Amino acid sequence: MLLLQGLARLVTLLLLSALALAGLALAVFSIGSGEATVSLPGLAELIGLHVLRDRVGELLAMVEDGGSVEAVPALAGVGAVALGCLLLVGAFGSRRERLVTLPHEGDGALGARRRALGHMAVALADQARDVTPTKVKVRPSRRGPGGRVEVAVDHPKTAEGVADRTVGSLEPLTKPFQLRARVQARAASRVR
Amino acid sequence: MASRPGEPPAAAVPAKPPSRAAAIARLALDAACAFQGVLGGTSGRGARWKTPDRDGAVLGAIAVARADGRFDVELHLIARPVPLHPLGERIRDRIDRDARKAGVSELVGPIHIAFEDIEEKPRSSASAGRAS
Repeated sequence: MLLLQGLARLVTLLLLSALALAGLALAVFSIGSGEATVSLPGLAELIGLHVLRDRVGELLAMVEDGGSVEAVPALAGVGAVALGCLLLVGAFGSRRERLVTLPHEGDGALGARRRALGHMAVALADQARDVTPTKVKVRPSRRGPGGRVEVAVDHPKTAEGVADRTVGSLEPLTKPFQLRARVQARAASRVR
Repeated sequence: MASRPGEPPAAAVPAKPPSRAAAIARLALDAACAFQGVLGGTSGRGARWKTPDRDGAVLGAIAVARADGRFDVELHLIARPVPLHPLGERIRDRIDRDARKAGVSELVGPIHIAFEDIEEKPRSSASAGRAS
């Protein structure tokens, strides 16, 4: 999402810059009239509009010919639609990272960012015997408080009840934040 | 800068008091930072979370005026690895208490607290700090 937002901003900046330059050029070349160098026909000549018109005409004629599907125009069209969709997501997608909120009475809200809770989850899981957390993902609920915490852990082959122990060690975090813990345990030959 | 003739010297000119929003934001941030479990406020990526003041900004705290004359207070904090729920509740109580002491309790509206990150030691980054 961050990448899409950056891309949308960059494209917006480039498009606005191009629009401003085009407007400036039009304004300057509108000074003259007729066939003078500084005139709108002069500008069209300068940027090669007639060449562009011919090329677009050729392309459209090729597409209209029928027969087999033209791969390049079709792919370009699909790409343009996909790029447009991505830019729309980047422009209108949520810019705020969701918080895991705590149940609270009264005004105001109390919450924690996923990253903060992830750090806490790693620290807590690390306290469990024979458990080495390798990956933590916190997913806030879309409606109200709560959410889910997924922890991947490594453990020695001989260890038993690793998932239960890990879930137990996460309770100081999962109970107040109403998080459901899910542990993915993997036996490793040597705990890192 | 040298003062003009007839004007008082620059040092004698009293500094402008902070805006009401900045004063509320600073009160809330100071109340939060009084706890051992709080390392400070953070203004976040792009310095979004701050309240502009006449002499800079209060980083990590936002106070926004409401229609009823009170201020919405939003704190973005970096905490130590401590239980966050009780810490958040104690911060709220402390803000209420400090606001009553300062005689501005009627200006403090809903208090929103977000723990942005957990760290053992204070950051060296400029975006994190008590206030600037």
